[in-house]
Amino acid sequence: MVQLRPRASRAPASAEAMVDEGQLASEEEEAEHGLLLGQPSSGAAAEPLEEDEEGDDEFDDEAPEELTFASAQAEAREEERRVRETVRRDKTLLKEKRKRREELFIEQKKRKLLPDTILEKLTTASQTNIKKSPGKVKEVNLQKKNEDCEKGNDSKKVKVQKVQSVSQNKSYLAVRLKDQDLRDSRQQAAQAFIHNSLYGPGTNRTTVNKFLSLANKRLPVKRAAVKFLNNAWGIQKKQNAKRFKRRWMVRKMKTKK
Amino acid sequence: MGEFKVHRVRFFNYVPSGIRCVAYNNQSNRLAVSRTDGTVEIYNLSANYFQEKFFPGHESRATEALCWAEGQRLFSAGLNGEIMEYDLQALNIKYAMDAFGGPIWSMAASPSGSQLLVGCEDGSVKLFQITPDKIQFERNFDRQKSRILSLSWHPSGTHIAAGSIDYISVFDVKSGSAVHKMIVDRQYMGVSKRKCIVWGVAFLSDGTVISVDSAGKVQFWDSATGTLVKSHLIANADVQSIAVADQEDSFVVGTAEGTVFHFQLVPVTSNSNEKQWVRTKPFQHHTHDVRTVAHSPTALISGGTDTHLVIRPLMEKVEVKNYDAALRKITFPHRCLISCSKKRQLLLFQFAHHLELWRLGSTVATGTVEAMCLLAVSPDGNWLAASGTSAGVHVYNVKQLKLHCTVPAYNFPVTAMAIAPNTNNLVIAHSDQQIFEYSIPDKQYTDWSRTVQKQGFHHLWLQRDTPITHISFHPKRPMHILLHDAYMFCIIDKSLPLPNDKTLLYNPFPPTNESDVVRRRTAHAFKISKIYKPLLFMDLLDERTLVAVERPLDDIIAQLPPPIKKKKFGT
Repeated sequence: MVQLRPRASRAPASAEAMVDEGQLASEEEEAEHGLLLGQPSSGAAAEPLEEDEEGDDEFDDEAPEELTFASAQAEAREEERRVRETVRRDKTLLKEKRKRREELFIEQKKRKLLPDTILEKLTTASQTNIKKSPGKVKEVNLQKKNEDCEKGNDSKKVKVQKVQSVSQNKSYLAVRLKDQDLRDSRQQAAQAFIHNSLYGPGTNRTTVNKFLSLANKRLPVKRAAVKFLNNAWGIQKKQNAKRFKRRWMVRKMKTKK
Repeated sequence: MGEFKVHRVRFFNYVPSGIRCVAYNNQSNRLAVSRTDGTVEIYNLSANYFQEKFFPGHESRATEALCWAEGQRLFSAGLNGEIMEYDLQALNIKYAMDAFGGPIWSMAASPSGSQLLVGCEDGSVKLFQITPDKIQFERNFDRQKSRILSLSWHPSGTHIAAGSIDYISVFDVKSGSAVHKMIVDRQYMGVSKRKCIVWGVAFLSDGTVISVDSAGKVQFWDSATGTLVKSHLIANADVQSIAVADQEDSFVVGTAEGTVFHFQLVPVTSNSNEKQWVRTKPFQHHTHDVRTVAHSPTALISGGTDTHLVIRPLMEKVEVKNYDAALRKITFPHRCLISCSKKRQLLLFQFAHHLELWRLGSTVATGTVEAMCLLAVSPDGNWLAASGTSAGVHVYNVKQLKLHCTVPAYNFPVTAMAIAPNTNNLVIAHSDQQIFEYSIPDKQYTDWSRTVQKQGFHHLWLQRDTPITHISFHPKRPMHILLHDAYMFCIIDKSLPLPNDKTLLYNPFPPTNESDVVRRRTAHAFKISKIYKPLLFMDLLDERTLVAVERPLDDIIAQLPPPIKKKKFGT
């Protein structure tokens, strides 16, 4: 039998049949173009994907299969369902992956913080140790371990237990080291300001010694200053003199003999 | 009385810390005083100026501002950025709330007492609402360029004045915005390179703002127009504090040279209605900076770096001109800081952060250790007397651990208590210089105590202005009670008759060598000696030995920070 039409469509059709998705796609397309099968195509090369094996058979032996709208619709729905299934499966897979990653991170974080046993010990220890006078706030700074710091995880914060009342039962406070440093530096700056403004350069201050001696100078019988002797004068000279005297004595003793 | 050997101890290096803030509460007539080491003391001015409450402090909690709010609540704020409320019943700190503005420099309570205003290092003024159990942040006012060092409310509560560096701002409370900004001259008619720090402001009800600054000026500003009205140059150094009376007819300022000036509103001429502010009285009771002043209805109160608290009643405001109208200078603590172990010859000195234990001589002694101040234990260990903030002294039976009896309440607080060795009489001294003797086994006042109360004490005894801080007994002489305050010690001999107002209270005694005590001169019960003063502690070590711990004022002054230089003619 002479085959007038080239079976160019066979090769792509068979290639598609090997792949699952390809088949689905081709079936889908078949549904789309179902009504078009009846129409004569201009050339086989123009729409090679249209026909598949079944189409070939139909051409050969039987009349083209009638494709009702309902069946086509059903197939379309099948397609959609299957697509949705895959998408859902993909999503769940991703979720699983993400969950596993999160848990891993939590594990690592837990390993970085102090183990619970030590934390418990700390809380019970500071509760029983209330020998301080009432009203004193005891600050406990939880120190991070060095190797953890090196990991460079800045987002991790030590748990801050802020205890509001400073009553006898809860007299401790756990704070972050960074906050305390900032606070200290500001407090020191403030103290430096007030010291400078009261006792710094430009203020007219004198020593207590001179202040008390002023009265002595004005008495009818003048008296010496309150602290007349300055024993801190010439310490080095006095030490040298003492050493020299000792050596001289030793030398004198030797030459005498 | 007998002869005693005296251990005269002067090596207790007690240096009190300077006073930083005072706050006067009109309703209860109490004064809150805070010191540079963070301690806060409450003085009861009607109970003979006795220090009745004490909050130990820490340098990290040093206060910069102290104020009373409604309902007898005391707040303080300091350079650590926290506002603290004190619990006056439980004698501890209720809570400390961070204001999140950096170090706090000033604080003022509103005239209604329900709001608190705080001036911070970063230039912000924060308003807090006082709720029944805490304080709550309400809002911020407009932020200024430099730190807010002083605050004052207008009596109506609508405006506030805030003093900063080189300028004063007036804020409207409702909107929180700055209405005026008044620039302060750096020096009065001169040139100065140093910044002018406005240490204090006061807002009067007619809209005048009074400011005191570091150039030594007191200036009057009109807050409606934001202009300077009058300027007084009163010192060569900083003027560091200001306080206005409630009636707004007088105010007091304190300078860094130790001088306190009183300003009064007087009519221009004797008939006119127009009044002006005139500087009336200077007082020089301090040697160092006067960092805080307060104005009560009848007295001027000042305190500063030289650690004295000076209360100067104003003659024109005091009704009865008696001894009460004299100057009060509180220097020494009203509590006993020393305890003595007789058996071991040891002295324990209580400092702010540590204790020192010293050993005396090498004599053999008998006796037991007695507890201090508001607790007294009987030497045989059966009874414990305790006096707290509530009225009445409770006596407990230690063996059975229950309350035995309560001495009837007295309206003045207890300053010292002790239980006699054999008779188990409890001797109590109060802040108005009254002494009671109560017999614990009999549960009533002794006959001697009743006679003393009926006759009353000698008027000179009642006019002493330092409280009795320690009482002790002689083991072999039950009729003797030894007690002391800061400037005298006295042995009361119960067997001798009591002095009445006409007899001499302080007997002159012939000069003897130092180790002898007062000799018997006239036959009355109160033998007083003023040889050792200022006396911090005196006790009987054994039958023949006394120990006296003195603290000369010069030793304290020698360790204070530098004062302002004073130029005197001829030096």
